Amino acid sequence: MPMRKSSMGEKQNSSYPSAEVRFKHFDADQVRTVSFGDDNPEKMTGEERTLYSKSDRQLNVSESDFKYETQLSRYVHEFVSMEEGVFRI
Amino acid sequence: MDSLGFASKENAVQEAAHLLEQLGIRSLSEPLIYALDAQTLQKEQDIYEKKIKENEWLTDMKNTGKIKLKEEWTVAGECYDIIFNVVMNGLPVTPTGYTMQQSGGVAVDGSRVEVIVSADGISYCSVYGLYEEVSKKTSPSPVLSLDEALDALSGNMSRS
Repeated sequence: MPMRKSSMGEKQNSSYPSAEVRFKHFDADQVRTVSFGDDNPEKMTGEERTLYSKSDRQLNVSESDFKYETQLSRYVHEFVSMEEGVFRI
Repeated sequence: MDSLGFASKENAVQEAAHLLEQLGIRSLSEPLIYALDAQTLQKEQDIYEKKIKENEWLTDMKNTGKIKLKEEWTVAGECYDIIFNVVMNGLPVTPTGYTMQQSGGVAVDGSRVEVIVSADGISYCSVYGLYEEVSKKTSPSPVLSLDEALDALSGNMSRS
């Protein structure tokens, strides 16, 4: 773990662990199962994304991100947003 | 408001964390939790509705069904909006997007996880910009100390 001291002139241990990373991959089927359980949503497949929907619920999933939403969350997000890490209402 | 009637905020966070764990998402910070009660939601929607009425473009969006508002907010619509930031190697990953100028202007999106929990369970889950390790360096390169960075800066400034 790095140890840093704020006052200038003091010796600091400044090694950080380093790793090669990539975007976390998601398996569309697994996300669908977790989101919809035993329900069997309609599936639409595009080039990069897969869309699952059943009644008011929808899951939009790609290899590296996904969004599951319901009518309630659509109503909320009409005037509540989370942009750039900032919650706005 | 701290807690909503259908569940405590701790239980709501537990439900969100359980969902994320099922998806293999674990490296997250302590969450920010917003309890959205019916009264607040109604008040904020009323403000938004007023804004829509004053704006031609928003009015058109509402009339064509692109903006849909709830008729009335009741306790059934109350929910927790839970925001997790991402952590890697114990360091926070920015939720803010930025551009890497030194790599030809490559845009990098921020990392974020948002979950909404209501009385019906998980009502929303958005996961974006999470990373996973491909390999770890066995001999990590040291980061410059503050003194070394200041020396380098001072050297650069005196040369220019």
